[in-house]
Amino acid sequence: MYKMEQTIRQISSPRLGRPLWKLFASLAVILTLGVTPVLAEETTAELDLEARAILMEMAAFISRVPAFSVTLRSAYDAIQEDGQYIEFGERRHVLLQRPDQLRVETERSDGEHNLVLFDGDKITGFKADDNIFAQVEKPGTIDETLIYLVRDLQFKLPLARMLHTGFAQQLEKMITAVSYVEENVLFDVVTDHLAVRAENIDMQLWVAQGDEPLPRRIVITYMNAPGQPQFRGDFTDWSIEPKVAADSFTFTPPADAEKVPVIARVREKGSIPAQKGGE
Amino acid sequence: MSHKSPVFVIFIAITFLFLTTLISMAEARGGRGGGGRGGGFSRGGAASGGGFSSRSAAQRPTRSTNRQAGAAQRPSQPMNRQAGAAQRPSQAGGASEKAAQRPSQGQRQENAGDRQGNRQDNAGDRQGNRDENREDWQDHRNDAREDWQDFAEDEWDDHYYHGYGNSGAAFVTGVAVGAAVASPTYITTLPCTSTTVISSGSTTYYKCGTTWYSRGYQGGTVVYIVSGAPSGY
Repeated sequence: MYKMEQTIRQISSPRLGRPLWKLFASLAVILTLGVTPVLAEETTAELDLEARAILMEMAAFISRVPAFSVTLRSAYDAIQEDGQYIEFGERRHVLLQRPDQLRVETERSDGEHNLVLFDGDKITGFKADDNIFAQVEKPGTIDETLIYLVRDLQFKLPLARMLHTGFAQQLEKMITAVSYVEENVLFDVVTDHLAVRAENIDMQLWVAQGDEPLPRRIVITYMNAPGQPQFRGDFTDWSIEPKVAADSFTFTPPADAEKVPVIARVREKGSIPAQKGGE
Repeated sequence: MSHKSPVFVIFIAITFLFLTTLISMAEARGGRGGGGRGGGFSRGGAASGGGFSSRSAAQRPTRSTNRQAGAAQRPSQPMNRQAGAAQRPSQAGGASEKAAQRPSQGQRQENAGDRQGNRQDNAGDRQGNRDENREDWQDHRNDAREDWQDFAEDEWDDHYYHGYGNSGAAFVTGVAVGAAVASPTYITTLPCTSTTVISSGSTTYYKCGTTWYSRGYQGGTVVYIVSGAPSGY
């Protein structure tokens, strides 16, 4: 940078007093010589390094906090058989207390409600609309429960990896490029807008600046899926010191609720731990 | 009785056609919706699960072909980024430059200054945190590696890959007797508006035609499992 300023001074000094446009003309010549692209590349590389650090710091922060609660308002593209894009939405409130307590309340855009609780010993699913509940004995950690819920019970829990303590590690493994887009001021806090590329997805994240580098928005594009649909989510009401009521993770079924069985999927590889279903 | 006028006949015919069309539209879209009033559009698809992975399924083009095509369609990243970077010689400079371009907005200038300060503070903090965190990550990575490798490569949050469309056995668990029932037959929506609903013990049964169903829970939704008739039916 200093060298460039010196060069400009050397070129422009003897010509002081001449019309200003000549100075601009000189600058244009310098720019066309390719000085700027070199500088720009350096700047871009620095920014991208910082973007990567911001991303990993965000992931590490979420992974290490002992508890948090957040509301995720999400929308996704459901591409119909005739190619039409339809957006559906959901709102989830997540309360997590490591290592073994989890509560996820879901409201779909069509009004369906669902509650999932994990108390360290069993997973409970409750549908108030139908007044049914299901339970599976599954002692373990939140990490193990997340995998069982999503992969084996086919439970839809968007961004489930964010709740896993290995989130940072997995991100590090999957991402192929991180770029800094801009500083975004349209949220309740100033955020860093990051563009992330992975093998099969493109992702954009808006991460809050400051002591709590938590995501405020995420957009995932499924590059290899037909039609390249997107998932979009806005995070609100983050708390890393959430209020946990005595019954936040325990389930007391309504008197007339019906207990129904859970349908789980069996994987061919057989790496799922043996089921301990039933009471 | 006098003959009906042609206009009246046409009116009746149009009304009939309109009603039959409405009914067929309702049939075409009905029955697939969720809890509330809906047009029956499918809620599924690759993006519905919000996973961080999306492994290619059988119907997808091969990855290499797709990636090459994608790369060709996009301008190369360096060119794109250079243009963007040229507009902001440095991040810090970019922020102050933006403020300087809008001198009338004193408030924003102040904010930009504050942000600049914050960013420098944060950058310092981040560097400190990063160094501290790096060790934690390393420890965590080693601890979690074995556990993680069990499922990471399986892309466990890829609903598209592991979704309902894939063949695979299912079984019922969590039943009162504690037994797992292999490969139950279940559907997500009853094939009729069941008028026969029987509560037998603690289980509710629905009858469509000659088939009885009881309810189950899969993936946060209610499904209907083909079951035997309740006792006494």
